[in-house]
Amino acid sequence: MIAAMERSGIIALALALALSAATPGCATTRYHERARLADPAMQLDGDAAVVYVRTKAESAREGSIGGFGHSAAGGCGCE
Amino acid sequence: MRLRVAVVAATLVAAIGPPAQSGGEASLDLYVFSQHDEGGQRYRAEGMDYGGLRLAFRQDLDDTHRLILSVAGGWIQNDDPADLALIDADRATTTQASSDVITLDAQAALQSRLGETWTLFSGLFYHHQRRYVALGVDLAATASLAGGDTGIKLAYGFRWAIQKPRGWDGVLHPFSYAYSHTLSTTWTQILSPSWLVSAGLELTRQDGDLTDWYGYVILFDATGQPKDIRNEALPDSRNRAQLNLRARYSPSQGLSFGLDASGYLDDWGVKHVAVEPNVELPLSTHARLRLWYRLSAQSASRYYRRAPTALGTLQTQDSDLAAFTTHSPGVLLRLPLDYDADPRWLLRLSVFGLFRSDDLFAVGGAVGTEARW
Repeated sequence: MIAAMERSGIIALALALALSAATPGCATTRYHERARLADPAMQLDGDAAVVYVRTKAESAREGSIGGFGHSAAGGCGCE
Repeated sequence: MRLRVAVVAATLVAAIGPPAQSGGEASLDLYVFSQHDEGGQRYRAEGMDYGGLRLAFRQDLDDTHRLILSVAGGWIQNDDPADLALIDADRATTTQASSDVITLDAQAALQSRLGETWTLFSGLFYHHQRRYVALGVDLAATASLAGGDTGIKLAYGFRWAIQKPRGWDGVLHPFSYAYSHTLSTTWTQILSPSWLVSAGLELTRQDGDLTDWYGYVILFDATGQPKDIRNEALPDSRNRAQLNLRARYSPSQGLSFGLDASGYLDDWGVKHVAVEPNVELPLSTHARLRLWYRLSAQSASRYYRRAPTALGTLQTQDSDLAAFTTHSPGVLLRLPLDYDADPRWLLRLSVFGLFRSDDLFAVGGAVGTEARW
């Protein structure tokens, strides 16, 4: 099960990388058309300081990886 | 004389090059988070209060190099554990071992631009708490293609945790280790002056001692009454694959709508999906309000046992490995304090909540200030 999952994951990642590398990219905007895109409102990740605490509070604890008092490596000092 | 001065000045400019871009920013944020336990694992107190302080600093060293530093300290006060003496009077006296926890996170990184296309990122990570230290390395390469309309990122992160944990029963366990490798690739594409989309794939592999030694499993008798407490036991490896999809649309300057979606599965049997619609509104030229609502759902790990009557080889009652859905609304306000000054100062205020279907509730918030020059 683990080996099969590792294999399929690595194949999917390799495929994604190959597709990315093979894609020359699509130029769709000119420099002067990027005012809205350059605005902080268009940042995909949002505010880094808020992302830090939200990651600990939300996504890191789901499935029990990371979170408050833990790093993403796993385990804990428990004290 | 004037000619000589001009020649010397021209030679100096040619030797030094154009003035370096020396932008940077520093921020200081105070965090609070409080979780209330109305459910979760019935025989474990999962409520807690967290307070933290984070200082982040970025400085352009020259035209191509940027230094990034951050350090965060946190204090966690866990609720007193449930009274386990009812189940095992001999081993329930030391279960307050983790009532107070101090944590430290630190990161240092260097970002280097190579020509017009490539940017490299290399960083070090350190996490510290009593009886637990984690070290890490983060590497990333980003390519900006098609005049900046296409971005491709490949990243790798490694974490190495060294721990000498004390268990829920007060037993001090020998040194053990845990490792994680995370490999991710992200493709970002500008579709038009208003649209931005992104897709990413992330693989995580964990090895080593992944057990939470403060976690325990309650065994029940045939009538449903608790009869014994045993250690949590989990596999020593874990593989996770996660897909992230994001889209953002801006109909006018400062106004944007976003939709983030992610899903993962791992070989512990956890399947998880999350969606987050969000909107950012301009309150003035530089003041912004961002609202979000995150909805997530996950299935339980195959090792999760809610009410076992017999001892299993691998078992956990960690509520984070159970099935639940979470509703998480939040708001962020960014206000310019003196935007025309140098440095420019910003104030941010954020509040968010977590409402889990297994009756764990939490509220969190952040207040911080940021200077940019």
